[in-house]
Amino acid sequence: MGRNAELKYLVATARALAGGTIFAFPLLMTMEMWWLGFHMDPFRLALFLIVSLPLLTGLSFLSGFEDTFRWRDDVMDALTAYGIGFVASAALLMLFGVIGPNQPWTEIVGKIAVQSVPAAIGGMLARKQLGEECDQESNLRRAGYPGILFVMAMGALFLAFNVAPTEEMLLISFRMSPWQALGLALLSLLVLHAFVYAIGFSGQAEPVRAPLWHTVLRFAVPGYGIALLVSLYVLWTFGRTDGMALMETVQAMVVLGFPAALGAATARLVI
Amino acid sequence: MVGIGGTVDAEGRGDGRRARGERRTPVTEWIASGMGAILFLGTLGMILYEGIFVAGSPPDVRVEIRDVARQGEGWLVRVKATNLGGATAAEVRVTGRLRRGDETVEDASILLDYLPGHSEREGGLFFRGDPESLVLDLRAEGYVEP
Repeated sequence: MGRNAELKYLVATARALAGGTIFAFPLLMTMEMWWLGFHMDPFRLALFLIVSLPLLTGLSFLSGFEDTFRWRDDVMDALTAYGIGFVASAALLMLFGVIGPNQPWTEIVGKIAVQSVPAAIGGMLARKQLGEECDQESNLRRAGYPGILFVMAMGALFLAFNVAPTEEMLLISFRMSPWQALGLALLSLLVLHAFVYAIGFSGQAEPVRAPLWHTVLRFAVPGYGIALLVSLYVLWTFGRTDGMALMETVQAMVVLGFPAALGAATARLVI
Repeated sequence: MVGIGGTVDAEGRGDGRRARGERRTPVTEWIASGMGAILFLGTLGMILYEGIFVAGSPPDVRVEIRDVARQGEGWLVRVKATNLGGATAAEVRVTGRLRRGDETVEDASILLDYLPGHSEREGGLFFRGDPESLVLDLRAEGYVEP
């Protein structure tokens, strides 16, 4: 152990840094995200940071393969991931000229903070995507059905977050009629079901043998519900729901719910 | 374990049934997560501080001339807009009006996409007349909330 362990840890951290950058760069290169850094409500941003910590901890646990849930390890992992997300975001924003010394600290901190969470999630996932093979299924399997719902929520959050800051989300919802919104909702549900059916969830669903209504009720419907709630939370966090009528809010939620449902459906592939 | 910290004992990923005490946390892991904790708490603290003490007051935009330069047939007046308020102003229109006495000679304006609280942005106004021999009025006309 000793030096070998230290070296392995450094390699893992570097890998996470690279992964965080890969997952976060579309957002780092989105101007609405820079603007959100200074005009979004500070309390909603603070809440988002606070929420991210248990999410990262849960992700660390579920994508891990230790048979004991070790709070300390997973919390430490979450904090490291946050630090990595912060460093990756700060470095790239500085290179892009988005943050600079002539800006007030509130603007700089806000711009980095809003990017650091998706980058941290990316860093956490990087170990799986870029890392060595390991028996990563065991913790997820042990976590059972709640674990699957959690993974779906993380997938929904990640994809929703990638498109939610753009102007197009609201623009699309303004263009849609209620019937089109309904159609999109049904399509989201269908896609979610199709993915779960095709990919399955780690031995939980053996969808080929389970009856159709069973898979739909057990995975697609709750998954879509989670996707919609995550969408609403992200829209609210970005201040997109402020001053909107209920109908408009619901439509925006359905629009963002489509990528969120895709994220929920495919989360199993990356976690 | 697949998280950042990972299980990095020399035995690597074993059978997943190691006893609790077997794994020692590498020093680098303590350092990395410690720095992460500092960044997390620092960011959170600064954002909450901003929310409680800084943000809130409405935009208060002041415009001033930075310099005036001759350019071909006209003049460039570089201006700086400063928002002394806490809230961000979007689509801030800054207008410069050249006048001789009460008579307006020409107008020029710029539109600043965003002017965050306690921040400044710079821009330039082009005039055909000489701003130094005439009177130049600068002002911010309005903004929208982002």
